[in-house]
Amino acid sequence: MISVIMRKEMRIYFYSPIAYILITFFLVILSYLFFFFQQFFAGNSASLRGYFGIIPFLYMFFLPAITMRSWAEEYRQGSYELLATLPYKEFDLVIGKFLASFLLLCIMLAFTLPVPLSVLPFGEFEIGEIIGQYLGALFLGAAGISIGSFISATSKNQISAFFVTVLILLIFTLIGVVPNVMPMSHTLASVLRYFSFRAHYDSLLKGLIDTRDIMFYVLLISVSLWATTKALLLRKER
Amino acid sequence: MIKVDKVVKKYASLTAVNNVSFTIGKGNILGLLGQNGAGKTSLLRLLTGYHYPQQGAVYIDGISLRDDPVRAKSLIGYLPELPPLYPEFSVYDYLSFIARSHGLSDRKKAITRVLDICSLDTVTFRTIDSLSKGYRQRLGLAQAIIHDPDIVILDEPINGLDPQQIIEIRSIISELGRTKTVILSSHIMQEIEAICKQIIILHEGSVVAEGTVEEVSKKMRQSYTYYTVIKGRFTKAALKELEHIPSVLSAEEQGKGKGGTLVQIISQKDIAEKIFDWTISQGYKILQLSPKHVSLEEVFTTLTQEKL
Repeated sequence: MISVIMRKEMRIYFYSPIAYILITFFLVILSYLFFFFQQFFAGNSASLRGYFGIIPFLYMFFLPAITMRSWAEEYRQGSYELLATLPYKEFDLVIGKFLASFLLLCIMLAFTLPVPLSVLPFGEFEIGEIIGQYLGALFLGAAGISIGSFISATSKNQISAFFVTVLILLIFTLIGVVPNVMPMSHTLASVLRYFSFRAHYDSLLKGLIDTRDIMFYVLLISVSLWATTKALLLRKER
Repeated sequence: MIKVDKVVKKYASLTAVNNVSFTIGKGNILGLLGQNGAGKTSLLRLLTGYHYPQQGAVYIDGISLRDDPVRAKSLIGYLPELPPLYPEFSVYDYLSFIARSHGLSDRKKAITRVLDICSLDTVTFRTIDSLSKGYRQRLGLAQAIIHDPDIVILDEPINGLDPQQIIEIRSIISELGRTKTVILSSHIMQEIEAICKQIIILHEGSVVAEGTVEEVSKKMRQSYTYYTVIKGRFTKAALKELEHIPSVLSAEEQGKGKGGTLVQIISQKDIAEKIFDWTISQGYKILQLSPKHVSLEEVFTTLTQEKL
């Protein structure tokens, strides 16, 4: 049943211009920033850390654009009444939509592959590092999508879902920097750093696949999906 | 088939459904009648598992909607007030999604069946956003019956349709009502009267009347009114004597014609037989004797205005 929802979501993405616009803009902006803003070829470095370092900032806008409509649009056009009365468990609906958004992200990242492949001949790149970087981008993206899905499920319209998700992703991305600019206790600084997307992403960016970082993302995704399911169940009791 | 047991649904301080109970079996069409805001949609949402009641319970074929919602919902086909459609889908893709959601193995056969029933064959591959309101309503109905459910719940199914479309949808609903349990809501009394075997009148979330159309009308009668045409001349003295029949409140001449005299008789009880016997015993000939029909509209107006 999860696959039916996933299929339906993918159709909505690709029957409308949404997916094509998102993929195109993501690739154009990412490539422009990498080649022209960071000036990769002038850097004389056989590493794609700069390339993958841009991704968290692009995610702050692209992930909300993917997830903003997933529930809010169903509420607006009344189709949620259909989903909620079809023989689905709420959790199946949540997972189906999450996986569809994640698949769209995978497609988006797959289109970035030509960039690493095209620069490989110009230096001695470490394949393990690139794999870690892609893994980091996937986990970071999945966490962002799960948060965006929760925000969409609790929003009345997709515009507010978009801006609230941007704000929350901004907080999660920059929270680790706060201890560097503000004096605070060691414990609080550790907590803030633990919840920083960047802190966990940076390890993967270096090609270090640490289970603690993976667990952080897995935990965050699980909590967000559970919260989304709860939000849907609470709608029934309202 | 459906048992609603003392359900209460409140939205903040508003009680949308107040202690409603009823049972409806197979092969029956139940009409929910009420003014806008009477609680019809709220009640249907409780029956379909879209919302849960704060008190009471809904059972579908003995299954509690709250305890086993997936199994209970698989027995229901539901058309909300606004047909829930995905505008970017084609009619076929949309029905295919619904068929998959119900786990149907022979999807093609199920889709062909509902396309035929709802006369959607000509628009099968058109995108939903290009369909007229009538076609959208039919598509909404098609998705509700694609899995051949035992229970079909329709919220204002003829809303906004033209007369021809109303006739078509009404015919489909009547056909469904032969073998299935159908519950439909409407604020159009003629519609309910034309299709439904049983009715429930809701007002401010509460049931103010229920039963067959005849039963509800009968319950509402404060008095019985008869019109009779008696051949020949009918004197004032005869009218006075007519008033002496037990429980007759009044007997009045309403007019005279070549054929006879039209008399209106109002009584406290059903006395058609007594009127007939008395008239014959007095040597008059009855050309016509008919009770005044109390329309559902009159009943509805009385019930809902009484409560205002």
